[in-house]
Amino acid sequence: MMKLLSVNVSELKEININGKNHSTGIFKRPVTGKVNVLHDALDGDHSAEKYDYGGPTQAAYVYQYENYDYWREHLNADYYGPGFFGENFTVENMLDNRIRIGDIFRFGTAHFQVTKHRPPCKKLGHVAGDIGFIKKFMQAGRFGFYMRVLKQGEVMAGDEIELLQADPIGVTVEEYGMMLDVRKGDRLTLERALEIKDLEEAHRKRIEALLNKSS
Amino acid sequence: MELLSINVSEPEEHTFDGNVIRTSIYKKPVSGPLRLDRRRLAGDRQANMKHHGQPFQAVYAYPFEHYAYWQKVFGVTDFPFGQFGENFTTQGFTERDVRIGDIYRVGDALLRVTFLRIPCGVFALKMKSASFVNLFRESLRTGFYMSVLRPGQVDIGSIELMETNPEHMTVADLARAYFNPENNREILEKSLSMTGLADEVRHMIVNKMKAISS
Repeated sequence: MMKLLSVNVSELKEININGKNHSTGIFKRPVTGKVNVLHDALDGDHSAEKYDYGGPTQAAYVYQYENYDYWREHLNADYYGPGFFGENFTVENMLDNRIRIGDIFRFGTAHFQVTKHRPPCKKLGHVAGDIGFIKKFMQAGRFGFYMRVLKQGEVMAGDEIELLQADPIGVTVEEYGMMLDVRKGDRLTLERALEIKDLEEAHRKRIEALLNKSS
Repeated sequence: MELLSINVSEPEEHTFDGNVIRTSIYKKPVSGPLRLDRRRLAGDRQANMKHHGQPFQAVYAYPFEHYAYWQKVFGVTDFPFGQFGENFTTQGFTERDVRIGDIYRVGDALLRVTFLRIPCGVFALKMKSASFVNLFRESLRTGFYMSVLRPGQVDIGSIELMETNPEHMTVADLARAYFNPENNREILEKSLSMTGLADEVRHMIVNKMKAISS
């Protein structure tokens, strides 16, 4: 059974990376009770770079509880609980190798569609206390995934998650992330991915560029 | 359903009341076949990339059925193909039949209906009518934009409907709600649940809803 274990939000916070100040919404922490899902974010959640994080294709970020066990030995953090990876939703039984780009899910009363994997950023390196973690995260293929909101609603920790519609092309989040950010020339997967109808436009362009390069 | 004419233009300078404006709204019929890539037709380029150059606007289609209507309004009989700045002059279906997300095949290219056309000031200048923007909106004869799912060669001839979803809104229904958001909040809300809604369009509708609630 797919389950929503925790709903996590953040205020913006200033951090310093290599002498440069950055505003970030990565420090997400669990909230209890019902949380409103709005079209471009969860109520009460903040993303620093609206263009990169937030907006329709990144309204919510999902990370899997199973991966907390996997990463435990690589990390030494003061706080290592739900929201650590900057995810809005900590879930179980939704690993990247089972979830397909374009799948539609119900969480509580809200409907979401999986848009893309999450490539790690330097802010994740900061919370991990190890800039090398970015590379490890990428190569492990345990990306977690972003979703767009199809229907506003309410979510709460403990809600069951239901698959409403499986994408017919069937490119998993793991395949997709590996194809775009790790093994960049996997022609067969690139061609399959182009068939996904609800692909984010910027990604469609990237995939086409990779295909052109490999031909 | 037929594609009657393919019309393109590069940006050109036109003078309106002494003001020079760069525009690509003066589209001219060309003979095919023509290459359609992900962004545009060969030979077609927008002057104002901010408002007209998005991928969801790769092709603008306008039903030939509306030519008679507008010729009557303007008291003329000779609007040429491309009069409305459209890339495709079509026949056999209008905004009342076409649904957001519908997928059509033209030649070997696949196109997806994304949004209605919001008339701009340059369009009114071309039509030599200050009230044209309002007339066009109220008529709901907006034509529709399409994105390119699969690039290919296009030519005049048949247009084939490949995929539709009966639960999706027609272009005319969305136009009615989008142009009068205060009274159509629920319809706009519902439009966001359509799969295949282009993210840029989703963003515009969300912003429209925010603007009326603040």
